[in-house]
Amino acid sequence: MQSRTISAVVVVALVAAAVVLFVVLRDDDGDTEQAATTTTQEATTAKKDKERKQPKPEPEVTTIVVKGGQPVGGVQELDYTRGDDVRFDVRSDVADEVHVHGYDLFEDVAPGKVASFDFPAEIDGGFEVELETTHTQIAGLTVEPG
Amino acid sequence: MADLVIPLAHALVGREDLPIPAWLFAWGASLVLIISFAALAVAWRTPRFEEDRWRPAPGWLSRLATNPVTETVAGLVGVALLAVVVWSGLSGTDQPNANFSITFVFVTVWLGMVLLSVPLGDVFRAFNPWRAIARAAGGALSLLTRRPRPAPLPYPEWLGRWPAVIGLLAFLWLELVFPSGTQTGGVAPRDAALAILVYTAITLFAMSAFGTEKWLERGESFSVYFGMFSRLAALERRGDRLGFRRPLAAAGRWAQVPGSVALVLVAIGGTSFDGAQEGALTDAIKSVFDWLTERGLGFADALRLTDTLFLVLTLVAVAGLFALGIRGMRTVPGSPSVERLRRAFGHTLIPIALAYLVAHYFSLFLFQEQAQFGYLLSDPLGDGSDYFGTAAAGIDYGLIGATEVWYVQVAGLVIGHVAGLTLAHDRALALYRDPRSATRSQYWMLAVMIGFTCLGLFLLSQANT
Repeated sequence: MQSRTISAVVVVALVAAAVVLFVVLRDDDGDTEQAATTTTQEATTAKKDKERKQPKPEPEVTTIVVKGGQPVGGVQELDYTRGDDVRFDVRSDVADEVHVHGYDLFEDVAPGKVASFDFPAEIDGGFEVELETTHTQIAGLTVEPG
Repeated sequence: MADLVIPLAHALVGREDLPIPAWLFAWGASLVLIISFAALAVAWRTPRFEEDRWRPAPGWLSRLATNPVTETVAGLVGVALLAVVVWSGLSGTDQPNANFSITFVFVTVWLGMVLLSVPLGDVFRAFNPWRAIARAAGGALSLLTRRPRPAPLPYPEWLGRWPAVIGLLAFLWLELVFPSGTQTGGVAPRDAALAILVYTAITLFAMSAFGTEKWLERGESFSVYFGMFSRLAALERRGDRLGFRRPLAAAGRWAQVPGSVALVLVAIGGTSFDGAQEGALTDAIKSVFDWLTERGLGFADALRLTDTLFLVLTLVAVAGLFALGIRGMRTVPGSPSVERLRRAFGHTLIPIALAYLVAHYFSLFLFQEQAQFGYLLSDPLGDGSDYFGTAAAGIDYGLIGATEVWYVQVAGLVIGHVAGLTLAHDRALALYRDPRSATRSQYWMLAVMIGFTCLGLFLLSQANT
């Protein structure tokens, strides 16, 4: 009987410890979190929050340049948070179709014809942006949960 | 050349998982440590999983599941689906994501059957197309010749489950290494169909040589692999009766057959490699690949060679972690031999293999099954057909948020960890008799389990970075 009581106490303590850990470790989504442990990551999150509250400035448009079927400077990183506006252009010296996976958006690109994308980031995850016919990845789109 | 992009070996991945955030990693790892040490404190002192306590289910349930009509229908469904896979693979589009065969084999069956086997038991046996073909052929042959079939060759017992291990390795190589360097980054449907035809020929030949049942138990990779996971289930058929048993308990005797430990280690290693190549090992793979191409090796060859090397290294690392735990346990007074320990504890890794699979493939399964029952169902060849009116149904990648995916991943690893610990502790009690030696031996298995779970968390934290 006694060992059962001990077991029960240990299990309860375990659950309590897990809950406390979860709450303490979890990134606070609210704006109350201003502990001494402000890391650079939290600082950027806070900055992003601030930016979102201000009247929206025109977001910067990234341009991906494709030369000889390969992205200049390697696969480009496009990082957003859910709810952001995703805006980027693709210029290419070969004609192809640009495919944004997951969102399944297609735009034609050709010498002299820029493929422009502008859509809301509403699905979390990592998505390839590729040239459809050659299956060449030109960018990686990352949408973090908001 | 420095800008050259290595294509991912995943034609099916439309949405990649985000790496789990640092706080969740820390929480998961802490939870695993707390559970582990609490487990030692509250642990039971007599083994409880050595007997599976099978008892028959109500008669109507048995009759429903095991009557000849159900069996024949299930077998026919299996054979028909095998035919559709080969047909779509050979005559459909060469785009892996638009061809029925690839999603069906690598996602619906390969992952889905595991997810079905854990709650429901050995479901694959009913649908196994090779079993159905062998039984039908055997029956037809006896009818025609009116003579009893010749007795099968005796199966060499030392061979154990090794043929299934070789088949599993071949499957993983075809899935994870072979597509590297191809343009689509995925297994070509035609290659998959040819591989299945070759496998069908080997399987039917081996079944006729050693007997259908023997080969299903030992050599047929899919049966052995799904059968391994079905050992965790609370449902099992014995003869014509369906019955309930204690969950996890039936796994206890599984690893006694030679090759079993290798099988579960290969299962864990394959998933680990797939996870690591998308994150933890990306840079290492790239440098070896660059080194090989600089020495004149072609793009595809260099990539396949590199991936093979890292697959082997991952398998060695996974096997090494388990071997370390076994060697450690051997130092406890009264321990049996290393070989006996390996076989006594091999089954404790089955829940870990399941946890790895869930953590790594859960989101892929969720998304790709929408394709399976949407456009792939109506347009299996990718030629614009619309048999059932679902050809326009796509994949809703917004079905589940990244945060929910993280929770499922970490919960899967933690639950798998608990199940593995439970089995290991129970086995130690049965093996050592004296609870104090059992506990001492368990420090080692605890280290192995924590190692595997934290490796799983680490791979998740590095995914697609």
